[in-house]
Amino acid sequence: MAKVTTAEKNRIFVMFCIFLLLMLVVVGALVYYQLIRGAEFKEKAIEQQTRDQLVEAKRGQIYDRNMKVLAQSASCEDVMVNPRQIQAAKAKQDERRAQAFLEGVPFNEEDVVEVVVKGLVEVLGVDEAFVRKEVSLDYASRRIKKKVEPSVANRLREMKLTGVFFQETTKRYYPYSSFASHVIGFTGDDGDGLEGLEKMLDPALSGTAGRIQVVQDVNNNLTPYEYENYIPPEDGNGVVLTIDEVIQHYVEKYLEEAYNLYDIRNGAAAIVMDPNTGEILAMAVEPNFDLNAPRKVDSVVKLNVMGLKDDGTEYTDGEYLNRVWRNKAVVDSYEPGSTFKSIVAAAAVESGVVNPATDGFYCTGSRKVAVHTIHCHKRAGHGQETFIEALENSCNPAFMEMGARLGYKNFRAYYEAFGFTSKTDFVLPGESKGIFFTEKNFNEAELATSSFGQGFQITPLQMITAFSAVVNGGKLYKPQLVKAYTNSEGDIVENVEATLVREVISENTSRVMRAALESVVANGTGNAAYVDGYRIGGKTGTSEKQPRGQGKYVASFVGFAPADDPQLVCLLILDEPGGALTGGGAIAAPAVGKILADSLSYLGYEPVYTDNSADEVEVPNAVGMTTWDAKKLIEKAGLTVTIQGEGAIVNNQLPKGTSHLAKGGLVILYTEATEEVRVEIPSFIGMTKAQTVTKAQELNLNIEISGGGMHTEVSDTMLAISQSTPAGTSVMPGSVITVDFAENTNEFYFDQNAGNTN
Amino acid sequence: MAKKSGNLNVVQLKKKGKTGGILNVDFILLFTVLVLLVIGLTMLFSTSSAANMSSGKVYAPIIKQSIVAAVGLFLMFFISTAVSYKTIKKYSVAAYIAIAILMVLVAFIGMDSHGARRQIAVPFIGSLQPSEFSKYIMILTLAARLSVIKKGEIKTWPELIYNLAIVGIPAAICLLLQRHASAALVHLFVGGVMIIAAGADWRKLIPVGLIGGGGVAAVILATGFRVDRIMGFLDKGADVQGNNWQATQSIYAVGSGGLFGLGLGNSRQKYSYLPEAENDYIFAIVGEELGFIGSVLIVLLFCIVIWRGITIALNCKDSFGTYTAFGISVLIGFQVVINMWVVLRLMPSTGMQLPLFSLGGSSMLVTLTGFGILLAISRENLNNKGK
Repeated sequence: MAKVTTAEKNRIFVMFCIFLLLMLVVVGALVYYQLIRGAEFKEKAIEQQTRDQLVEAKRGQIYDRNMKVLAQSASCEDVMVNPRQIQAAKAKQDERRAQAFLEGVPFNEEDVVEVVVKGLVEVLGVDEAFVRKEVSLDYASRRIKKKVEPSVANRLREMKLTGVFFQETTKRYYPYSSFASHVIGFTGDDGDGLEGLEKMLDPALSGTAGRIQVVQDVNNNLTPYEYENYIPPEDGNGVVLTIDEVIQHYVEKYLEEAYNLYDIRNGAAAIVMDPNTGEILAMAVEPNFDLNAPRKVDSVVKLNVMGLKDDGTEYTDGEYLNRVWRNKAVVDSYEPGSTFKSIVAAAAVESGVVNPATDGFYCTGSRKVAVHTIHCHKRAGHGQETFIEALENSCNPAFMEMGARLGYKNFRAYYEAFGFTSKTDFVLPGESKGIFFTEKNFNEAELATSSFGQGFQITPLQMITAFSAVVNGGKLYKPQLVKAYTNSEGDIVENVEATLVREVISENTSRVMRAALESVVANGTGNAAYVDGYRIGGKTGTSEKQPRGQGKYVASFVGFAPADDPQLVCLLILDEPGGALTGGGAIAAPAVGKILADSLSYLGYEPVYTDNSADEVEVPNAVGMTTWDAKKLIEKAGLTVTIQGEGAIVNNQLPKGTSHLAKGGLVILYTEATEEVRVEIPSFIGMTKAQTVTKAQELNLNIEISGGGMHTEVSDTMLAISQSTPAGTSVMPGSVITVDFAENTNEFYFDQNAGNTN
Repeated sequence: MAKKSGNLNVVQLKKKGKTGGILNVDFILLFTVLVLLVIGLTMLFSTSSAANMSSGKVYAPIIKQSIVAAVGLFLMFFISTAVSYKTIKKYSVAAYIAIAILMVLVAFIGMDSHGARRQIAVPFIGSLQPSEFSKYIMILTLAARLSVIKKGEIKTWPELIYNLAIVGIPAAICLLLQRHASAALVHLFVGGVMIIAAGADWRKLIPVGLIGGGGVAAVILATGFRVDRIMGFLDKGADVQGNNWQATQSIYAVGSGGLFGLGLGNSRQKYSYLPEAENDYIFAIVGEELGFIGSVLIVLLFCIVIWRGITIALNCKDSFGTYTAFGISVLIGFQVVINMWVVLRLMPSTGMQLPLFSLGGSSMLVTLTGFGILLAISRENLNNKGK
């Protein structure tokens, strides 16, 4: 066995020394990279590993007063791509392809970029060119689609697309779509409130976003690490509105009905207020919009709502949306017209210039004010009137007299005291405060027209707030839309109390006004608001829009109920009715009456009926009788008979037995299975009672005349304002159509120069 | 001496049991290897569990590696206690021929991976990489040759060429047939160092080295992506996302560790930032998780291993034992240095594994077997000393 020599051993030892030197270099490099430049590389590593992620605060919910959810937030995800990562994967794939080509091996991988683009386009339905452009950019993060449903995001996740990742976010949902759209408003894509309460209560609703630094891998997947600087989000507060979902629903229903029926050209608004607190129970505006798609423009609706510009071109979508989003009840001011007479009357009684029990007024049909002659809507004049009759008749000269008695200073003082010169400090955006004459411009003529609500402008919100004070005992409350704030769990953390602004009139004056205004509905111009079984008070209003003489009106009605103990006040405004009917008493009052009656019923107020159905008779059942016997039986009941067919036995009749018909109504007896005769119902709207009856007789229809307050007959001057079955419906001859009539009183005044009368 | 068979040694060991204990081997080496193995497997678990998290195979790599390590440990203990390294000498030539044939076969029938065939599928085990075995067999064959030639004969051309051929044949197979440059380089480097240590003539080695080096360079240049890797290394700032990505990420990992490290298991870079983190770049994760202190400790432990290996070589009374121990030490040391230099961006990426740390069954198996041979030599050194 040979032993190695010393020389060899020396060489081996030298080699070992070289090894130790090389390892010393390793230690040196460790010193350099870990100790000297360690912090720098660590920072770079952290920079690439972490993503500063905002932890979005959950936006608070919006509830109605009974905690029904009107707006809520749900989780969804933004779909993102990392273009650099995709490009790097593509580069590596190209390298593999080149390698395979060099070696002559087949290469079957699908192109990385194609897979990503195809996947995104297929699942998200986004534009292919857009995706292609995004993935080609030199960025680490680009958003492909915002607010994708979790289920869709999961589908993408399962596809494991290179460089596609997700960011959690939330989406706002409005379960009732267009419901209370102008009150609730909506948020933008970034979650900030843009309109309505979403905008004005944004600080409370949005909360404060938290932050977290997450550690991710190259593919933006999360790793188990978190860095310490986690700031938890503070979830937004919930907001409980004073809105009552049910009452709001009634308001929207009847407002929309009136809006469509009377061809309203410039929008409509309605508010229901609790007069005892100032709480807004409902606020609706037409046209409304879908909160879940606030930017959707239906071009047909747009053309209907906006019409064409003066030069014949269409309005832009932006102009349309601005118009649709506009909260008419708060933002737009209008001339209130005769509804304002309730304010003037209250001021006159309160200040003592009118004694409602003893004072009388005399209306000649006009009143001379300075150089003008201002007419009453009734040119012939109302003659001698009491205070209440003046209100019932909505008599302009009587109110000019009251205004004159009040005087400039007092008028202005009450105008201000009722809150018409200041904003109500309401929570919805864009509130205007109206326009009134400067002291210098407030002269005799202005005082006179102001006394019946023309010449100045106020907002619907100001009007209902002041009217509430008139009927609630004289207290002016701040209109209130927020009842309480909740925490993120929905527990109430803060109640918002009613704010009494000031007492404007005494309880005594208010009592007088309640009685007078109830009489307006029961006996006067407001009788279309009368609903059998309920005590409703109110005042009509029709103002002519400026410039005068164009035939453009604002019809409105402000009502309250129950008249002896007001719980609800409702103001409804129809801006520019386009049909034959333009008077507030004709078109606005019925809707207010229905809103109040339905709401009272919902609130538990049972109707109290008085018997006034004496003129109706029950239709006997004649089916199966001989034609002769049937005719005799029905005529005996006080009805008229028409026989269809040649048969001897009645096999059908209209109306059916046991239904009710007015005395003298028509019953049609069918004696054989004849071909069914159908009648198309015409529109009776705008006809007088006589015209309606004549037309109905021509068509073999039964008409039930309705309308006129509890104590008021349907007079010859009243016009049909609605019908129970819509025009165009095809019915059997003999069917009963109920037609409502009301006085179409346009209470605006005409200057003697502005020729037109209606 | 030739009569002293393995069986005799076993008998002897049992006789000496009273004084030297069962493990009458270089205890420092044994202990250090075991410590490194434990740390290595721990780091591999930490790294591979994260690297394979997305595929759900969190435990699969570490289980497989642990089984291989157990087999390797058994082999190591068996060889170190019961096998005379001289027995191995007898079979070295046969093994050399066998592995050469196997490597050629692998190049044609082996498993295809990234366009190269370096591994053969083996039932139950998965795959084996013959080039790993070839490195040790080459050391044994070369040591056997160097131990039988007369003093100074290595300085002659025929003997030099004969020895160079022992080194060159497996290296050529690796490079030309398997496209496995790093394995070829290991063969050439370890063999070359052994030949130099044996006293080869510098004047003859320099032209041989130039020719051989030129040939290797030509082959490397012929295949495109290795050039990219080298160019990426030379241009450190550029192309962080592409060719230089791995090196940059490696430094980010090492640098993140600082003095104390982020703590065991807390590497961030192993989450797909650092490619091959559980393989060639596991030392970067050591740096990130265990910091400067842990990294230097690993460096020290490897230095102790090599120190013991060299000591065993120098203490051996038999030149075959000396060359074998030296060769194994050079092989381990070379792998450690190259691996760490690559991780620390001191040289371009080569695909060198860190013994006892990197994922890879063949490497683990042959490394532990190699330590077994080293320990066997140390055992006989100690026995001789005791006589």
